[in-house]
Amino acid sequence: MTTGGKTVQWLRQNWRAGLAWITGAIFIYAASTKIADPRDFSTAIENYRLLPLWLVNPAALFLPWAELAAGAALIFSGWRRAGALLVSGFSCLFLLAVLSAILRGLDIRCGCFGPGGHQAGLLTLALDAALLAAGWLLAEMPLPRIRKSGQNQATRLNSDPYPGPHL
Amino acid sequence: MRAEMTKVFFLLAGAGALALGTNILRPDPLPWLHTSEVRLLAQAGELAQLRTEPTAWVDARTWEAFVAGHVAGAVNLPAGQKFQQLARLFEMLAPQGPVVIYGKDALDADGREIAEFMVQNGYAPEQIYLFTPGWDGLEKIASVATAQGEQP
Repeated sequence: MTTGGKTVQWLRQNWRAGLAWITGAIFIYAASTKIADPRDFSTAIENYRLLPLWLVNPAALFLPWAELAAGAALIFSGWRRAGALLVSGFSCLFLLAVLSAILRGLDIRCGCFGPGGHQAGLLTLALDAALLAAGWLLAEMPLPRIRKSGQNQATRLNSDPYPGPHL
Repeated sequence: MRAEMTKVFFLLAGAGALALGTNILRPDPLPWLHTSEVRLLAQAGELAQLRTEPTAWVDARTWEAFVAGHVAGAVNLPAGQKFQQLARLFEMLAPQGPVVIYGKDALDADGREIAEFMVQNGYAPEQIYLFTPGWDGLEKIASVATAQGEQP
C-alpha cells in the first residue's frame, strides 16, 4: 500500500479522534485567551445586549472555564461524548448570539478569541456552525432524516387518526 | 445518555469552581456584579438620534492615536492619565448635555473606564454615553466630522 493510501486508511479509522482533537484545541485556545483577560470578555458579552447587567460578569468568569472543560473533555476518549454535548450547546448559543447581533445591526467584536477578535459577522457564524456540526457528529446524535415521498405517504396512511370508515 | 449528562454536570460544576477560585486569587478580580450605569450606543442610528442635541465628545485613546485622527471637537482623555486631567476635563466639558465617549474599538476597555470615571466624578449617569464600536466604528460613519492634530 502507498503512503497516500495508508494516510487515507488511517484518516478513515481515526477521523473522529482527529476531529475531536482539532475541536478541543480550538475550544482550549479560545478559553485560555478569555481566562487571561476576563474584563475584555465581559465588555464583549455586554456589547451583545442579550444578558441582564447583573449576569454579565458571572458569565464572563464562568463561560471560559466551561469552554476549557469542554475542550479538554474532547481530548480524553472516555469523556468525549460529554465534551461534544457541551461543545454543541456552546456553539449553538454563540451562533444564536452572533446571529441576533447581525440582525440587530450591532457593530461589535465577536469576543470569540479574547482581545482584538474580529467583527461579529458571517465569518463568526460560519465558524460557530462548523463547531456545532463537529460537536453534533462527535456526540453521535442522530442526523435529521430526509424521507422519500413514497415513505411519507405510507406514514400518513398508517397514522390515520380516524381508522374507521371515512364519510 | 444519563451517564453522559452526569459527566456534563461534573464538567460544568468543575468549571464553576475554577471560575470562582481563580477570580478570588486574581490580583485584580472582576467584580461579581456589574454595576455600570453608563448607557451604551452600538449603532450609527442610535448615535444619530442622540446628536439631535448638542453633543460633547471624549476620546479615551492615547495621545498619539488622538493626533492621528479624532472626532472634530473631541477632548482627549487617555485612560492612563485620567486623574491628572480631570480638572481640565471639567473646564472643557460643561457638566450638562450628552457626552459621548469612545475608545479604540469594541473590545477596548479604556472608553468604559473613562465613562465610569466621569460618572464617579460628578457627571450625571444620564448624560454619559459609551459608543461601543469606538474610533474604528466612528470612522465608518460619514456624518461624523473628523479632524487630525492636537486639540485646541
